[in-house]
Amino acid sequence: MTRLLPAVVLLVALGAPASASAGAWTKSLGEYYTKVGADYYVAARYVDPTTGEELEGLGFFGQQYSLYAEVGLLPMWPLQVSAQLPLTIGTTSFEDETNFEEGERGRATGTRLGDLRVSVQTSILREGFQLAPAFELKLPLYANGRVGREFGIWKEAFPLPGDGQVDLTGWLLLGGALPGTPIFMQGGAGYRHRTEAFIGWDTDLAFVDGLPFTFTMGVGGGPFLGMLQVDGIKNFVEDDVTRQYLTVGGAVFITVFKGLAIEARVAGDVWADNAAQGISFGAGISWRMPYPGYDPEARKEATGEGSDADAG
Amino acid sequence: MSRSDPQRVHVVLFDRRKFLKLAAAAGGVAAAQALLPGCDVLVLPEVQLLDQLPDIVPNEDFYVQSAFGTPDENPDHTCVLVDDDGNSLGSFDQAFVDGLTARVREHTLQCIGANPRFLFIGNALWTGLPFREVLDLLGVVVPAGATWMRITGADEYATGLPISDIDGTDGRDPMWLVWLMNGEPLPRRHGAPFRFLVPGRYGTKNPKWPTEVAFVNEEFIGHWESRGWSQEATYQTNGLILSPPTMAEVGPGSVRIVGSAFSGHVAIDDVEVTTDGGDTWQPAEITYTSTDSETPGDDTDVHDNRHIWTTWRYDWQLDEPGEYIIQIRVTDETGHVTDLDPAGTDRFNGYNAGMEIHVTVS
Repeated sequence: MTRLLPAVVLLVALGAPASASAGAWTKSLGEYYTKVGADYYVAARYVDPTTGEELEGLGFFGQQYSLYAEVGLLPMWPLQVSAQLPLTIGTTSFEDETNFEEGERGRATGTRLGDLRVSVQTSILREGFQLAPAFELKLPLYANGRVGREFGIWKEAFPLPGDGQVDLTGWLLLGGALPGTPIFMQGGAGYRHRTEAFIGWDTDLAFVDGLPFTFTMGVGGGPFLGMLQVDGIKNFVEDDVTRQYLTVGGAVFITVFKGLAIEARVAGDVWADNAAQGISFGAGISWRMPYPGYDPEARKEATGEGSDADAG
Repeated sequence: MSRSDPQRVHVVLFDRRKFLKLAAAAGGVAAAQALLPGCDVLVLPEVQLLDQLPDIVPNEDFYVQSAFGTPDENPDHTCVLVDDDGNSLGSFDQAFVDGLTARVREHTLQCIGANPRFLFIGNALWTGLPFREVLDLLGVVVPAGATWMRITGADEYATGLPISDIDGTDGRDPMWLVWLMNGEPLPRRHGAPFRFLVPGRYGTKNPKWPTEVAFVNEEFIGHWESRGWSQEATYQTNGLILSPPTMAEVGPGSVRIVGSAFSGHVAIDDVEVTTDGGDTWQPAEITYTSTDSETPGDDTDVHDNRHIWTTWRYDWQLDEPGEYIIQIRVTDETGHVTDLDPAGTDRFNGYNAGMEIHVTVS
């Protein structure tokens, strides 16, 4: 009821991918990918999930700075661990017809670590067509119960870094290149289980399980890689609190030197339920191994790895 | 309610200690330790200080709360009355009510979601007639088996009321249909061409823009009620501080605290304030009660304290820089004293506590 600033609403991580999943190609020992990224999210519309009411006069700007890595673990079998560690900075700007002049706004900013996402992935098929199951854990590194608590009645104006709940998600990822073309496609779907285990937050909220999905189509040319991406989550049961959405966007990946690349992306929420609807954009710098043109044998010769001298 | 005739005070604040701590610990482990608990910053614009609440809130300042926003104007707006099978019993429109000899009712409305964060309360003069009289003028007889009304608005908001509300329940006044607000045509955002006032029940049960009143044989659970909000929606005794807002930063000297007290079903006896955590209490100066009302009209019931707010003020002398807390409590005619801690309030039944604010003297 009323224009209550929502309790679960303004999740800083909204604009970031909802998964740490790396895609269908699973890495083996010696292969890795790391990235430092910055993502931004802007929303001008929000529906209070606890009431279904659209809140007016509320704006949201989210920033997320994250470290991300994928590392292959085994030499004989593809097994990879990926992890994302985000720092979130969320700002709400809000009107208050009781206390502010018309047109004036207050701002509440919260800075927290976000949801740590850790994923373990292997491959069932990896010759040409990729088929990879993955298991992901989402672990909140913040305490929603502490957000804004020193600001009395303004507490609810502060955005929360996330929903504060431990989630478990199983994925099945598929991918492959179109023969004779520089085009590849990958996608996947999964089952997201809401454990109802909250960290640092005493709440009666109960979220429902859902179906996360992702699809990417890309085309490469020289150092450039362009991608169209669709991501989303559809809940199995409709409720008034669990976020579900469909996001469409694009990304570019430009290799600038060996494994060093610059990445950029933009996406928009074409549909959102129990969540803000806005646009996100981001950029990052990544390093990967192996990179195009990488020759492990040449590297061994250059460094002396594997030579008789090593044995001595 | 919204503000008018303000004093202005500068309010910009944030948690300086945390912010400085974070800034100082800009690297390595110290930064990580500072970030783990997080950092919150609040910046508020200049806010308004009130000298006194108005007795009657001007239409443009009266709070607005609607489930689905204000529907588009409709010159052909008609409200139909139907029975449980959907058979029409009659109807009325703007032309019909304009032809009636109406009376004025002073009446306070409060949102069930009002709380120290959202001070949604207002008092106005409403012109209309008890709904029973409207039904009689239309020649409509409530069907014998009907126990509830399902009232639907042009915005498709719907709520349910027991039939007994037509004549008043538990000693409350009967429900009214009104079409003027403070002597002016009811603003669209407040329900034009007409709306219901239901004494004793929060705003959720005072539907705007009615297009259908169905006299049904079973209890009806409405829009908000199906989402957990109270079906009874009976007003709770509460007190609100409407100025200054909490966290205000003021200069040394006298700070005027103003606010409301309201019960909606019984009269208000006292409003008291404490500045020492409840060790001692001082009476606030009552600035308006129903006995001050000069409501025109011939219906003495409309002066009933139960349905009209009490406003108050308290001048607080703050000479030394520092942080101060002021709390209020309200006593109603039953002897009930509001709790100091709003945490005890069940949000879905309406706010039922006093209130506190924090003021910083710079």
